[in-house]
Amino acid sequence: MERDLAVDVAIVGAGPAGIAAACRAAESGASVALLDEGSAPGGQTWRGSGRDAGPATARRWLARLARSGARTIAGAAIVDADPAGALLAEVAGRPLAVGWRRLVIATGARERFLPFPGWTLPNVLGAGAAQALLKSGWEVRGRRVAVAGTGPLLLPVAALLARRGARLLLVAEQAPPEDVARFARGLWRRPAKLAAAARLRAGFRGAPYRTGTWVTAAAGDGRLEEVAWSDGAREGRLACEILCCAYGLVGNLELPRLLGCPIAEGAVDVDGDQRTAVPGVYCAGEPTGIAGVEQALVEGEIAGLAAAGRASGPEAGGLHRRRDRGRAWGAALAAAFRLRPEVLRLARPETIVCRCEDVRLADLDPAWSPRQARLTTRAGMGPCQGRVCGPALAALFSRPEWEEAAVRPPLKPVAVGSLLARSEGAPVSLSAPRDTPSASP
Amino acid sequence: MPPPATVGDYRAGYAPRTRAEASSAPTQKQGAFLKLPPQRAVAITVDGRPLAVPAGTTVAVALLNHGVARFRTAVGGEPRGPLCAMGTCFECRVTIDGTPHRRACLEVCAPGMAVETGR
Repeated sequence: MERDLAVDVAIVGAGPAGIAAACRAAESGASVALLDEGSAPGGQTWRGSGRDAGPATARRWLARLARSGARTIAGAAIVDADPAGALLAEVAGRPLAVGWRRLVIATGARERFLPFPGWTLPNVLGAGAAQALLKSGWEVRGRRVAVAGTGPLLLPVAALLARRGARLLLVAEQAPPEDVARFARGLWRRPAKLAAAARLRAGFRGAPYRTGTWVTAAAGDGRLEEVAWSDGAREGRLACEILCCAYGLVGNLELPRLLGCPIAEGAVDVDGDQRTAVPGVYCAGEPTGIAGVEQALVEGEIAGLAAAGRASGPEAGGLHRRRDRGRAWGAALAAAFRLRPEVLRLARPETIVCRCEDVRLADLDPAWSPRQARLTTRAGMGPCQGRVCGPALAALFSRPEWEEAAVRPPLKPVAVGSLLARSEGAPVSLSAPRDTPSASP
Repeated sequence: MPPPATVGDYRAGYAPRTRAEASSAPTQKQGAFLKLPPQRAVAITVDGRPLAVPAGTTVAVALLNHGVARFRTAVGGEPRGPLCAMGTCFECRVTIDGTPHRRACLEVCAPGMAVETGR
């Protein structure tokens, strides 16, 4: 692959993990390119943060990034990657080939969506999606809104909606009250998180926060008008214009899969220095296991130092201790907010499960492999390439292989021109699709 | 991609129909953003109708605030709108300046941009 740019360390994803990695690597003297699909660094969680906006931690890290000497390339969608040291990105409709000696994968996570009757209606969207849109200026004043799903994300989304003047009708946490209570009791060891949770809950004081409660269906003519909920004993309906759903996060594993990084239980295998089994390739943040912003920052710092050849520097010990503590937090989250069987049984035979190709649940045989399903029904073959229906069906069918659809370039739909060389007219060499992860170090 | 250029004064809530009108457009009916502090505006069209939005607004937010529910029409005919708002799900696809399948959540409104929904 001909290179437009060659760096010591290329980092994919400019969320907390990627930013921390870029800072540490560049401060260690490495040349660094930080690529991100968004229009500015920050990722999903720090979207819209800058010198004067966003949480203090985000402002501090973004300022540090600006000083670090790392080169940030915004609007860059990764098309292909070669473990021999190349990345092909599409930037503003044009190809950009980046050569690297070390690669840090910090691709973050996306929301898991669960199919239920009516989930395809406009104004039924992800809780993280709602948060991103609200931070970008979505006006919800006076709108009737419900938030449903599971996990700590419900709180900041509900608090933000309330602050923006939405009429918050229901915040439904599907986890049973005893699991939520046990999780909350464990928070005394993490006073900062406890304080944050209390502050967020105070932010939507007027709205009910119901544990052991879930949304069973959405209905409306052309857009959401009503949601139905259940707590197992009682059922109810609410006239509602916007429903924000949070059914947990799944790591964005397409790039590590393409590169052949071994993955177990939805997380990239890394060693103590965030090294994957593929030489020169590191991974940090949510793709190594969902554990939140603080963990992403620590893992990013470790990966950045290691990628720049400073794995055993004086900073490393403290970072490793913090990382191990963060892993425990991730495990506690996963245990407290596991999905109850009822929410996995909401889809009816006629419910659409693949939104790109309008494939209904009844069209799929749960015994099929994802490949059989693709060939028979086109499920997972639309533009999202199975990123929505894959994790959904993995949960519904208890079949993790649905999350592991064979990854091949281009990783995202791109203009054909981006797959061709620029002036010479010769094709940029693309690596062959890899269906089976290689475990060789 | 160059940073989105901006035109006009959005306090006036104006929505010039074309780039050429941008410098001389009279105040039109008041926009939906009057409660916010003064900020630069960008004039776009949505299905042919003019709309002024604060500079930096994504197409998805512009459409949602404009009351659009049907961003695209699914294979089976259903209306669809944003689901993930981070470029993953492709449900918010619209046609921008004649180019179909642009993700509204990733595109920032630019002066004179023509957005078509419902395809």
